[in-house]
Amino acid sequence: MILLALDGTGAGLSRASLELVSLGRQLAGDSPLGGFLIGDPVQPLLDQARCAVDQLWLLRGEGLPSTDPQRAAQAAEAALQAAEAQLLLLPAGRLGRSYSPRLAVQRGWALLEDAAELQLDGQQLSATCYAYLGRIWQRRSTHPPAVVSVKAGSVSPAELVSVPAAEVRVLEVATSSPLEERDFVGQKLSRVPLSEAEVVVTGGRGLGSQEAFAMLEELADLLGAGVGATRAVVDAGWRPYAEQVGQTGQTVQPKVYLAIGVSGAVQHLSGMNKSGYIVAVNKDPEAPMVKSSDLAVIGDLHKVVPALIQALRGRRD
Amino acid sequence: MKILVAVRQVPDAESRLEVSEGNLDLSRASLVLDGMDEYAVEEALLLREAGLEAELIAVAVGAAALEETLRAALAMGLDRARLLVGELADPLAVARAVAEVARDEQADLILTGSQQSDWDSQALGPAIAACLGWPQVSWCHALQLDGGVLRGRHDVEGGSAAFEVALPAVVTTQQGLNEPRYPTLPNIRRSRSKEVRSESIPVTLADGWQLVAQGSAAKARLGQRIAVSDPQEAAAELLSWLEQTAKVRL
Amino acid sequence: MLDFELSEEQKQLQALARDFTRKEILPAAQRADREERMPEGLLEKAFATGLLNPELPEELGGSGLSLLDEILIAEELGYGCMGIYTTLMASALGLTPILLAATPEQQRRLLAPLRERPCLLAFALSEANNGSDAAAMRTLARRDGGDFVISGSKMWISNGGEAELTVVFATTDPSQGHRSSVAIVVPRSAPGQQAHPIHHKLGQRASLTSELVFDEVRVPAENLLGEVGAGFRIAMQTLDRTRIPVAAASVGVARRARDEALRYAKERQAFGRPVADFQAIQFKLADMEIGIQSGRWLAYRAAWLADQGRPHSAEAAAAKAYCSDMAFSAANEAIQIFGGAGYVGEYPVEKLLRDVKLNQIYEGTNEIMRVIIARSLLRA
Repeated sequence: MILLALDGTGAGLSRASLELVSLGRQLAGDSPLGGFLIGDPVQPLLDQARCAVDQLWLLRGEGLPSTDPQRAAQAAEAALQAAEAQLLLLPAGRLGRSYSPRLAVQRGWALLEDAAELQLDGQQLSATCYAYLGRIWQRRSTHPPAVVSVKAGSVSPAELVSVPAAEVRVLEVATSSPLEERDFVGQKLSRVPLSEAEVVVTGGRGLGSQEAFAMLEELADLLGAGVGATRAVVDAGWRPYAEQVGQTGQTVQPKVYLAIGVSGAVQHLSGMNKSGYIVAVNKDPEAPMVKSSDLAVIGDLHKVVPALIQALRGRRD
Repeated sequence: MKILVAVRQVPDAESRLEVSEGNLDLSRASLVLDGMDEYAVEEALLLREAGLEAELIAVAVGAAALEETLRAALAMGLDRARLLVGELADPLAVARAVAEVARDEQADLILTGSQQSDWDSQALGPAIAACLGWPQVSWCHALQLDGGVLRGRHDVEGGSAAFEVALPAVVTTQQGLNEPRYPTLPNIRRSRSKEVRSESIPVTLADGWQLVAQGSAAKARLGQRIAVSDPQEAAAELLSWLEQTAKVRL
Repeated sequence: MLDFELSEEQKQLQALARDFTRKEILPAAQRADREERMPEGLLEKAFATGLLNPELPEELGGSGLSLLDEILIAEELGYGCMGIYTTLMASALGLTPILLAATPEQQRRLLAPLRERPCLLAFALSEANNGSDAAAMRTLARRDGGDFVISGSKMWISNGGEAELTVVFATTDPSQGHRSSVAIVVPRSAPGQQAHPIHHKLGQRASLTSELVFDEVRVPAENLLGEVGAGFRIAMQTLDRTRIPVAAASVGVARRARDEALRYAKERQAFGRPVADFQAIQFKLADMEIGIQSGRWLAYRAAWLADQGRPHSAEAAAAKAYCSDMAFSAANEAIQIFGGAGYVGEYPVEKLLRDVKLNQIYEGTNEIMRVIIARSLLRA
């Protein structure tokens, strides 16, 4: 069986989960598809999950759900055993990517990370993964059983039409971890999450100050865009880490990526160079970001951005 | 007490990478200590400078040329190095080899980068921890060690959290944790006399992934320009480009 | 047998210098040029990294680099900014006569501060009326009991006024030529010195160049290097060595010119394709590459001879003249490839030309280099 690591909010399954569902269906064909949720789901989430898969495990236990990879791996292990699964698909987020290697080692399974274009062909499992800071694509192949973290946005999310049909089994899981976590500080994202935004507006050090981000936020709101930041800006304390795009931050792949005053270090480019279109606003025609762009506006961002805001407001009125 | 720092050798981020007939040509790339691992080396040094009595050991698994990278870690200040020479193309295989060294050395703490910038993998640290049955702390950006207990902060799904964990443990490092130092010239000179113990290990590729094909992921970009003379005009031009070329609904 | 491979340690030195250039020099160079001063904190970082005065022997707490090691660093730093590197190079120029001619006691006494803090040194030979003709100098060193009293002025002195120690070349009797020349180490603290910075230089503006005026400056005779009459020889032996880093740094400038030109030529479109497609441009790039490769080996070999303790005067002169001429030409052609864009300060290539012009002049003009080479041919 193929098993999916599902998650969601009060409103239902997360986008990443819906993507897993559509991929899982593709790979499973006519065979039943399994899934698990960790913790006690609210009704809408449970209903959606029951539409999405054929068999659903609810993993409950003290300390669950958890951001601790130790506990997450133990919970997933229990589900894998119960489902007798040969393939586990999970979203390639921070948690998924930190506990999937544990699972792979514990079970002696293969591991594919941040995989796109996953194919299962008999005993051959292959996927496209990026390497060398996103500069090279690689087709990697292995054999099931395997744990696969699936790249966000690499398949379209499933559209759930059926009735909640999956049989639900509750598994009580005792997890333990020597790691104690506390003082969780969540990302305060008032806007669209970067991973889901169609347009991302990212500000770099060229903005000159923390205050200048106010106009970037306004621009983002007018465009319905997410706001991103470069490492330099995050290091300077102007923006929270949650907004950082790049090797050490998030990888984004929006339809349009607007880089405002971003010079374009390789580490940054690796986090956004798969975007549909890249637009740079920069005064330096030599900036790497300008060279990697589809459209570069060469000029003073402190004049261009207000002009953009004005023009967009004009269209609203 | 012993701290093991697992380091990797990757092409410099600025290097040009070219693939011809499925082979990645690295002959012109300069191979350097992975940037994420530099934080690990630095953190080991900082822990000692904060008063910890520890031996700091660099470990690397792969080609013999890795000695150069180990020397760089020694030049930053680590005490000695272990090099396991073998053809290992998969993070899990490397993790198993590192775990063997950790057992052999009876290490108490293992530090390594959160991401490996050749495979674009984040598996090495967690996999080493799993091989040893140790806890892992991923994406750490603040760390202190006090009486055998590690405390600090790290990034977790959806945010960040403070943590506390008793040794032994694996900690993966990233930006923000510290500012890696240069391998100073006197340290480069001094590292001449430091030991790099090299041994070969059997090839174990069986359960890893294999590379079937690869290519450049660089996307051809349109390279259009707008030179700003009048900001209003430039803004209007940009917006109509977004609508017509990028098909954004404004 | 020949072996062109650098040692592991040399590769590390090179990597360190390259890294330092990328992180500390390249981002700061344009501004340093504009503001005519060294980037804030750069000397401190160079000191902490060991790149300042790396020739200081290990027994004095330094790194004791060989000349070959040193020029690996010179090429990398020269790549980043010739002006900034000149500040470090001129310090080596001031240190070299002390290493060549001072007694172990003098070295211990004079050089002790170098291991403690970032110190610059300077080498004061040229005068307003005699640059290359070093034997004609007018600065007087008068013996007075246990001291020398120095009067006169020195021109175009890199690090002049900032240097902790300046090796001043003077004469005890202007009528006696070389036979009365002396090299005396003058600490910055000795009263009677004035430094007048020279502004609006064509290039290498990050480095400080000054006129030094000595008005009855009293220095203990213990600061005399060698004996009376040895000054000229010490100066020449010093320059035979220090011209080699000038050569290597010039190779760095040429490499930079090549890289900038290459990048631009691939992007700049003319007649519907990148200008790099045209042979006229390709040949310029190829000529730069020929110059870089040949210049580098000239510098390496001259340094290797010096490290072996073998005669290297003509080889150092050849390396210095060839590399600086070659780098000037590479910078010139880089501007040509850039066209109008290369002539303005927005791109780095015009600075390369302004900077590297000085490499053809200082530490002996390239005409003097040819005199040295010719003399060595005729003597043989």
